[in-house]
Amino acid sequence: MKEYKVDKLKCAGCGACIPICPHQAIKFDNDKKVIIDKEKCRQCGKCMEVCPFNAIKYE
Amino acid sequence: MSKKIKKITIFSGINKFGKKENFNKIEIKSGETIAVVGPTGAGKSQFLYDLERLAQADTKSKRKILLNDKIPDKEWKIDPKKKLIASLAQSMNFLTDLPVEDFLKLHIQARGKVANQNLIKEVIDEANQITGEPINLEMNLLDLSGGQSRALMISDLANISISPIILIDEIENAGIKKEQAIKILVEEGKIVLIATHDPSLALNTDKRIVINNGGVVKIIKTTLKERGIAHYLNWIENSTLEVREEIRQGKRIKDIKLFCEKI
Repeated sequence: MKEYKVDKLKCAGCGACIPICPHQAIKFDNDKKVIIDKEKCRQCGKCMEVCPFNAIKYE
Repeated sequence: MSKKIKKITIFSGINKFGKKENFNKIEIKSGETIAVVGPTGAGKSQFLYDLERLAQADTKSKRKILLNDKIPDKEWKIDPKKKLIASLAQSMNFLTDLPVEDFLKLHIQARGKVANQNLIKEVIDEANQITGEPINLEMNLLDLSGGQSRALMISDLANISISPIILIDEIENAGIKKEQAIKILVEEGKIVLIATHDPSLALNTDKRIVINNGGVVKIIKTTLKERGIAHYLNWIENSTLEVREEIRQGKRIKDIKLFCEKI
């Protein structure tokens, strides 16, 4: 099944996706990049749209 | 009590060549933030002026403004106490020789509210979320820096002013956290229009009205991607502000925090 994933090389850790997520599924990881909680994610795709670095992929 | 303005409608006028503007009407709803963009001298300030005047085809642009789908009452235009529209311009400064606390008390009372410590504290706390140089109640208004004055004016507009419509002409270069400033105003349900050249500010709005040669040429709805880019630009600017503040305080700069802790 397809899911939203963060490309850690591209993620700048700016956090633009965190307040956009309607399901609070995104948070900072220990390495100061974001991670998506698969349990909470409802696949709306807003994080992918908002990311200034195209660091979120759907695959 | 603040007048309930649910909608502003702007009917098109003419540009500086006498040609009709490239729209029929623009509707702005309460809680929306609009950027007014375009080259220097394009007519951004005239656009804000038309709103401030509640123009009825009686300014050089011939635009017409409706509030809640009606022609605004004449008294809104004449009576300054109605304070429907508040303006904030780049060159504005406090000219009163008063401590911050006394000024806020006076202003709160003048607006018919109770000047309790909670409200005063809220105004200061929110102003301090906007400026990197903390303001306290004992400071004299005349001693505030440009950034502190701006921050206090914006927090004052959000928390004390009854005006439902806020017009801002250029808040860049003031050394304030602009994203936070807009957030505070919008949370109070105000309609905010900002004439600006600042990219992070222009993209942190719902729509932007593009003006050239005295007329509106385009209305662009902000995309999510643009919001994300604005967030990133703001993040960099806020880091710059922190370094700026440390330099002002005579500190040595050891590193730059390239991590967005506050959302």
